[in-house]
Amino acid sequence: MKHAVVALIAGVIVYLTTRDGLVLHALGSAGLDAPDVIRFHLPDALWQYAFCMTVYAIWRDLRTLALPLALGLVAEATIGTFDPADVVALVAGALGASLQIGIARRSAALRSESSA
Amino acid sequence: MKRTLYTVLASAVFLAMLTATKKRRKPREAGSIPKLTIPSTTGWASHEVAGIRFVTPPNATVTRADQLPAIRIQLASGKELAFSPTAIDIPARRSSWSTDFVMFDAPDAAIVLHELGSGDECQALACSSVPVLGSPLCIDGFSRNNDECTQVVAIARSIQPR
Repeated sequence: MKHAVVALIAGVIVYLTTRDGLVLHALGSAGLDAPDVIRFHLPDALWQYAFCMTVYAIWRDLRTLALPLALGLVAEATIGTFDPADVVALVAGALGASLQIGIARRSAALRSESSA
Repeated sequence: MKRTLYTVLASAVFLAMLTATKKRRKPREAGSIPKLTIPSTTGWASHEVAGIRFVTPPNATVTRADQLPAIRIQLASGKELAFSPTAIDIPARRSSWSTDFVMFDAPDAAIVLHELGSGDECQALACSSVPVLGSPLCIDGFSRNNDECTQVVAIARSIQPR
């Protein structure tokens, strides 16, 4: 869950500091210059990562990551622009979450083995 | 049950976040607006209806009527046009548009691009070069197809009193 919160905060910071013209910018914008991959795609990946980590924190089952990924893709197609690079970012975010979960599970297993 | 509820709540929160970061439609850059050319009317069909003469593109059909605003011109795509019941003040209408979106600009005609949520649409405003019953006869037509907007201008320019 901690990872999800950190990813969300990072995503919001990227949005607020490097983008403008979004609904969120009713709150203000710093208008910093950044490469497109950071401005446009990193927040999508972070959002998807945080969503996957949150759902995993609830279910503790890797298979449930399909739900946030599916919702992310549907939302991208309806609310978003379904830019192929955004889709890649969403899949990367979900893969990043499953990788992170895999690493965390493995280190937990190793810890329990060494303590046994 | 509790986990399902938490999942629904989490999904709602995440989707709300996505809505808050929804991209507003980005205005087009001036250079990306196409400049249109009015087609030659060579080979177009000539019609004489209700005291006027005009040409239409191939495969267009004209529904005859006694009154000018009741005449209907159906283009090959099925798009229907009608003459405006009153003359259109094109310079006045044009001044209310952003110049970035004007695709064709002439004293007697203008084609403007409208960006709608459902896609782009062109609007053609065109009047006859000569007065018909005391004032220019005009057409105000909308289309998803830029070629149809240029055809509207060509039709309007061809109008002559019989």
